[in-house]
Amino acid sequence: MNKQPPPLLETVLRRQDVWRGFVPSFAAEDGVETGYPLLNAALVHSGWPPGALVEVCQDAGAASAEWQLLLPALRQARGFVVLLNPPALPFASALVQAGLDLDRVLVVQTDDKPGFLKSYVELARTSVCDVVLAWQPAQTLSYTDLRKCALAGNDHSLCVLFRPFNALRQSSPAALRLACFWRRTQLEVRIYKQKGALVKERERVLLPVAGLPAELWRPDDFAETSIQPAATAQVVSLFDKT
Amino acid sequence: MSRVPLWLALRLPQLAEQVQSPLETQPTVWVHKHRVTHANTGARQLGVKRGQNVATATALGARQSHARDFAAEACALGQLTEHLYHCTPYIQRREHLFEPGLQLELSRCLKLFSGAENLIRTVAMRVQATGFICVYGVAHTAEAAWLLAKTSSQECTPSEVAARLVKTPHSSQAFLEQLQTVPLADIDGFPEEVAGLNKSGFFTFGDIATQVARDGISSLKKRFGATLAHYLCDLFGIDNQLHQPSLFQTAAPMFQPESHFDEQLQFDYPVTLVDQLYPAMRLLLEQLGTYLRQHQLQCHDIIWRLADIHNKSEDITVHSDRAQQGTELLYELSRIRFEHHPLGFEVDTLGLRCLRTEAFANRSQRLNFTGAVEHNPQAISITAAKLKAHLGDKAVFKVSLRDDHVPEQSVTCIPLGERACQKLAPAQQHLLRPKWLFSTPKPIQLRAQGLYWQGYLTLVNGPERIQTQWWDAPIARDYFIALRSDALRLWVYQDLHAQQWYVQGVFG
Repeated sequence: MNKQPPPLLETVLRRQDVWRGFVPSFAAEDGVETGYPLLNAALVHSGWPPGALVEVCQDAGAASAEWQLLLPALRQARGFVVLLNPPALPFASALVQAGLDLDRVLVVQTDDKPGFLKSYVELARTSVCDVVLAWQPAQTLSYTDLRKCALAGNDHSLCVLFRPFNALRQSSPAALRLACFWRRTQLEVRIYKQKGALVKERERVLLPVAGLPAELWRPDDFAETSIQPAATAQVVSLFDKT
Repeated sequence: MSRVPLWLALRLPQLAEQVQSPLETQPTVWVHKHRVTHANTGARQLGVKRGQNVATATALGARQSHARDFAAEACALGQLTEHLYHCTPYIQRREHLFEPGLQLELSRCLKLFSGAENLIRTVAMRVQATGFICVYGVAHTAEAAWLLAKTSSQECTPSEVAARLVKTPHSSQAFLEQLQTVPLADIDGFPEEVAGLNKSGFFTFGDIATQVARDGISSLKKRFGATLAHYLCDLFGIDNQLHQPSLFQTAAPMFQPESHFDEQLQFDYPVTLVDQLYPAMRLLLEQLGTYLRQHQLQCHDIIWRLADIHNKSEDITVHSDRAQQGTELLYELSRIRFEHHPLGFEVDTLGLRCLRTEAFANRSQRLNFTGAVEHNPQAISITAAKLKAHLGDKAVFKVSLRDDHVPEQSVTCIPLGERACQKLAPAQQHLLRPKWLFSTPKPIQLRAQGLYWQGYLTLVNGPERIQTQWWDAPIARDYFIALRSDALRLWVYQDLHAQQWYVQGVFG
C-alpha cells in the first residue's frame, strides 16, 4: 500500500480562513487597489478585501472622508458604483472633475432600516455593482443585520459600510474595520480589525489629502492665514434706482 | 398595357365642426390665427365666409368662435384611415387648412373588390359608417382627384357616390377632360401664380392643358416658377424628365397601421395566488415575443389585465427603461411587480397588452477580445426594478450636470434610463468643488468667536462670487472653503442680499 501524505491537514492549512497566529502567508494579494501604497502595505490583501464587508467609522452626522479614502478604487471600477442612503447629494461637477462616469454612479435613497437592508443585500449580491458604498440609516444596525450584510457580498465587489464613531464599541462581523480622522494635511486611518491579521495596536496610516491645492494647507496655525470676508461685499443691483 | 392609376380623394369640409363635442347649434366659427377657417351652417347663412377676420364674423352675427383643434382632427383622420385600410393600403393624408382629407390609390385593389364601382361603394359605406361628411373625387392623379372633389357635391348614399364616379371611363384622357372646365381659382397654395395666370389669360385648366399641349410645360415653368410647374405636372400626370417613366415611378405611399398586441388567457378555475399566474404570464409573454420578432418591433411597457368572472378588472403596468424584444426581462419585472401586489379578487382571465411599440433598433456590440468581464446591461435593470418595487420609483436615480451657475441648480436627478450630461464648461473644469452638496443650504450661526456650524469655522480660500438670475430672483453669493475645528473642509457662502451665511457642501 502506498503511503499518502496527509492531504487533509495541508488542504486545511492552505485555506485563507484558517487562523495561523502571526503568519499571514496564505492571504491572497487580490485586494482592490486602494491608491495609497501605505494603506496597501497595511492591509492583508494589499488592497481592499474583495467580496467582504468593510466598515468605516467616521464622524456622525456629516459626510466626511468617503471620497478621499475611496476615490482611487472608484476610478478603477468598470461596473456600477452605488451610493446607498448617502448623507447628501453627490455633486455632479466634482464627480466629473474626479474622473468618474456619471452614468455608472447610482444613488439609492432609503427611508428606514428594513428598506436599507433589503437594498444592501440586493446590491451586494448582484454582479453588475463593482462598488457599494452604504451609510447606516438612523436606526443602528444590530450584529444580526451586519451579519446579513457581510454574507450578502459576492466575490469581486467592494462593499463599504459607513457608520458613526460610537459603532466601534459594538462587535461587528466585518472583515475590515477602520476609523477615519481628518488631520490638517492628512487623513488618518486607524485599523481596528482585519481578518487574517492580528492587530495589536490601532495601526495608524496617514494618507495625503488630495484634490485641493497644497498652498491651502500649512502646518502652522491657520488663524494667521484665515481669510476675513469684507464686512459688506459690494453688490450692484441692476434695479437699484438710487 | 401599363396600369392607369386610380385615385380617390376624400375631402372632409366639416371636420372641424364634427370633432367638436357636442355639436354647436348656434352660428359658430372656427378660427386659426384670427381668421375664420370654418363656419357652420348657421354662420354661413349669416354671410360668414372663410378667410374673414374673427371680428367681421362676430359683427355678422356669429355667436361663438372656437380655436381649431388640430389634434382632434388628426386623430379623427387617423381613425378614418384605419377604417379605410380594409379597402386599400395606399392611403395618404392630405393636410389642408379648410378641408383636410385623404387620398386613396385604388388601381391595385380593383380585382380584389371586383371592379371600381364596388370598391368605391365600399369606401363610401365605410366613411358613412363613421359619420363624417365627405365629398369625393376620382382621377388618374392624386392632385386631380383632390381638385375634382372640390367641385363635386355631397351625395346621399354610397351607391350614388360610386355610380357617379364610375361614369367617367378609367383613362387619363377622360379624367383630363373633366378638368377642362375647373377654374384655376380652385388651386390652393398658389395665389400669386393664379393671379398671374389670370392676367395672362389662363382661367381654367383647359387653358393650361392647351398651352401645355402646344409648348410643353417649360414655358409655364419659366414664367411662373418651378413649384407651380411641378404641381401642374403632378396634376396632369406629366412625367417631364425621363423617357422611360415606367421604370422610375414613385411608389404610392403605403399606410402602416399602428399595430398592438392584445391577448388573453382564461383559467380553468379562478386563481387566488400570485404564483398561479406565472405559467400563464410566461405563455403570454412568449406570444408577445413572437409578435415583436415577426414585426421587428420592441417595447418599453406592457399592461397586465386581471379580470374576474364578473368582469371586474385591474390593469398593472410593467415598464422597462431599455426597449425590449426578448421577454425574459419583462417576465422578471412582472414577477417583481406582482410580488408586491396581492390579488384583490379571484382572477379568471389574464390579459397582456402591448400598445406602444417602436421599430427594433439593432444595437451594435463590441467584440470582446480581452476576455474581460462585460456587464450585462439587463442585470442592472432587474436590480433597479427590484429596488424600485421596494422603495418607490424616485428612490433610485443618477445625477447629471445642468447648465447653471447656481450650484444647487447645476445638478439634477435623472432616471436610470437617461444618459447623464457630463460636459463641464471649460471655465468650470478647474474650480474647486465639494463632492457632497446639500440640496438645501444649512444656515451658519454668526457667533462672537466667528462662524459656527457644528464647530467653529475658519475661512481658508475664497471668495468666489456667483451672481446670477438678475432677471428673476437675484442671487449673489461669495463662496469660501472653510476649515472646521475637526479639520473637516466645508463649502460655505455668504448670501450678499440676505447677509446670511450657509454651508452648501462638504469636501469629502
